[in-house]
Amino acid sequence: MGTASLDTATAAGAREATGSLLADLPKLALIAGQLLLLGLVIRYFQIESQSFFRIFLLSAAGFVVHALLPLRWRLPFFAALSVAGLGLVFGPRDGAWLLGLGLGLLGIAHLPVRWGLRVGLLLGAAALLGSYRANLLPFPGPGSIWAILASMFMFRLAIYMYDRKHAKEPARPARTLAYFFMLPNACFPLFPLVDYKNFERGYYAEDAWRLHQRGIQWMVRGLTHLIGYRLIYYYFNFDPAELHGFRDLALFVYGSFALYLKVSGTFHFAVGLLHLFGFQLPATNHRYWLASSFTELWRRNNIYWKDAMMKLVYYPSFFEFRKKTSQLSALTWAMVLVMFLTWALHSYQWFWLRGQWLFTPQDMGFWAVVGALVVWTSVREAAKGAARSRGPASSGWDWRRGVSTILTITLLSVMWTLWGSDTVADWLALWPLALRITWVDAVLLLGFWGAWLAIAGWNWDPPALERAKKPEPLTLPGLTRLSVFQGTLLVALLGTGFLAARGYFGGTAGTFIGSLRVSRLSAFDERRQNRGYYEDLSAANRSAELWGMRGVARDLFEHGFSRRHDFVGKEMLPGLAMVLDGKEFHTNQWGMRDREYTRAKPSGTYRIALLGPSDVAGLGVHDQETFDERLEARFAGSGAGRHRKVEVLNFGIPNFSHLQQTALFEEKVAGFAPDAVIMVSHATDREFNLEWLQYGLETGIPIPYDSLARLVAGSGAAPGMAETAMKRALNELMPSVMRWNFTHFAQVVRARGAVPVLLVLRPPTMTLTYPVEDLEAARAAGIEVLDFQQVWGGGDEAPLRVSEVDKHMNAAGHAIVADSLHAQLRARGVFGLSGAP
Amino acid sequence: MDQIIQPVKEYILSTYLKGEDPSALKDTTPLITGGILDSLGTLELVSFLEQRFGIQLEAHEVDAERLDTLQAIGSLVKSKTATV
Repeated sequence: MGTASLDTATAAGAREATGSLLADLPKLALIAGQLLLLGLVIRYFQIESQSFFRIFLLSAAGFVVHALLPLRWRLPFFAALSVAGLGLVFGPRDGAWLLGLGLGLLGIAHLPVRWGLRVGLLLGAAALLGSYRANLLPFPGPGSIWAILASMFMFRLAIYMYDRKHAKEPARPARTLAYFFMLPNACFPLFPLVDYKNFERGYYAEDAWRLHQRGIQWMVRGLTHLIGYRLIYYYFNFDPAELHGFRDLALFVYGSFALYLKVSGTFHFAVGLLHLFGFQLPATNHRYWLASSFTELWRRNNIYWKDAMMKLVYYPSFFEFRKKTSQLSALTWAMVLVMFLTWALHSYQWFWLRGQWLFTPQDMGFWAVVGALVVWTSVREAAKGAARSRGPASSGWDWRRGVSTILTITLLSVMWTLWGSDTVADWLALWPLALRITWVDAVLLLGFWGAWLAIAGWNWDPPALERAKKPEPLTLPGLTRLSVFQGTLLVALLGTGFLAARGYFGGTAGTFIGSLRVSRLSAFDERRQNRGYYEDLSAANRSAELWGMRGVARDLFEHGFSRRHDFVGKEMLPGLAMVLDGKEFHTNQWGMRDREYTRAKPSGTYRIALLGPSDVAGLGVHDQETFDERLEARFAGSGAGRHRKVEVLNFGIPNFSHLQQTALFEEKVAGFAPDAVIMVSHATDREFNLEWLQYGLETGIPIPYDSLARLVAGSGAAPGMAETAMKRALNELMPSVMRWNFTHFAQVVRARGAVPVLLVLRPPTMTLTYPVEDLEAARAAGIEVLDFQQVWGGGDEAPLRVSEVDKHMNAAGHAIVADSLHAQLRARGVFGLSGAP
Repeated sequence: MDQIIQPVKEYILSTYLKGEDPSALKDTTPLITGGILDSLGTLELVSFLEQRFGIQLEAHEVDAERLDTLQAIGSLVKSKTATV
């Protein structure tokens, strides 16, 4: 076939593939119709991000234009469309930065100097960019472009330079631009590592309509993976501390690995989309749940990565090693090197995508065990040499294949939980749960394994020669049949979601199906998000969903606090002047995100002190948009009873537990002589308190309240315990801790002549509800309870949050809370704020 | 060319396609991209070619462009033997 491609309009099969324009219109309509259905499913099921949907729309429209263009214009058009995609996702300014940096790297790659010097210069450029990425140098451009820039260049440049070294033809600009900026990459930081030669050789290497239809098929498959991922993520993404027995553990283990469906789904979708533009690329993640050995897993899972490692590491190192040792030994060492570099490059990728290196014992342990198993099984295969069975695998059912598959995937899933654990001790603390097995658990597990065995025992791959057969060009009837099949799947998906949303299924089934239609955080991540977990990079790393939002307040968490070794724990620094995600963030002389106030209360003034976490501090909105600012403005307009004015002092601190708030009140807030003290609370405050107590135990922070200290000591939680075990012990204690805190808070606030208030807020779109037991405990303690869980009015709450992944209230949400709070404070006689001054 | 392709074909049939219909293996059947040869099989094929034809392959030549079909293998071996 040679290396020519369609930018020279000479690719073999290309002309036979495209046919005449008029004759192809019905085929074009069939593909376009399926794209329309795909778009509806993506929209209706809220698949991935807004950027993803925009790129899909651009691709679908671009496909139609592309298919109508003469052959020689298609590749330049695709390259231009890809560049336009950057602008669509990042906007003109950030898109221009990304494009400029990318073109700079490509410029170096094509300097008219010898190859080695160009590689050296590229390494120098990478070191400079790395210094910016690691914040060693101030980066003048937008931070938002790093992940995509990295995913386009961090590995592809190595493959490209390797291939250019041995290329006989000069590079062609359109092909190079298309390769690096390829359209779907604009919205996927994790993108399959497409091989340059495959990209070049596969261009219209077979019938165009067969290629396009295969693209649709892979995109549909990708969607099913992504919806499957959602199912696992919503219903099997557990907090390890909340696992109670063997069944929970088994679900956790398999569920952890099943989350990989997100990667396989996006890879299928991205590669499928490239097929629409004529790129015949290999399959990705081919039936990896049916891998019957670690070698097979390596071959089936991330196929693009495996191919890149073979090309850049395995073959070159094998050729070097065999000069010094036997063939088998050379194969072994080459494979060892491949697995070592797979681990090291994983960390390299982590650095470029996330800005920090990933060198944790969990990560090293995972790759050491999995790598060793891959090497061992590969060497065993190699040792058999020609004797190894490469003939047609038995097409019938074979129990050994099924058992091997179950063992392979189960062991991988176990190791996957290590990779996902916060610490090795946490991971080790999981396994005693395996002893808590019941008969029902055993029967369920055997049933699950039995069903798996029945499926995995079959050989699902067609015989090798059949698989390798070049498919015939797709006729109109053939394309129609395939289109109807894929279209029916998509319509069924849409119909099921539609009927579930309108309650036709009823009951649990309806709720379950309906839930898969909506993009949200799992209950576990929702709690982590609400308690500010994204401030901890390592924690956010464990969740792809949380990671998307962790950058928002990073500067504040890294530079905005003074940390203290006492029960208050931290305060915001006074005089901060920062910009967080485009919103200015200032603190006054007291470290409050607020205007300046005197410590002494001016006469005739009614003071309200607000305590709470990030939404009180107003993360995600401008200084003037926080609800405390708006509340104060409302009172200025409405008057406040006999008081001359109302001051609302914002003592909110991101990621701050009730217990810390109470301690802060006693130490600092009380000195401002408030008349009412409002503690803002959420459904996740039990977790906030739990984590604070746990942190205190681990770091030796003394509990300054004897009664609380006795309560904690009685739970069995003690310093030195594994995190998961400690969490489990403290978890049981949380209702009592909430009760204790409400009682103590009410006492100390009333002792200073103020009214204690609990304001219960539910961030927009959050599904967790506040424990009724805690509400009753607050009322019993004599606290005025303002339950604002329904404050959003029952409509669509999405427009009231900062973004798709950040559920903090936006400015509109803060305004609603301010209005409602103003009304409540004026309506309740206890505050004495009704009427004109 | 047949003098090259025939022994390679026999090697592939006897090593990787036992029991398959020999006539189904065409000169244009994709061996690597079609999944008949994995990375290990590809290196075994390299060893076979080097020993059988007395040639030396380079690491960058181990790819689908040069080894994917019997036809491509024939061309590669021919170009190598011409320069030996």
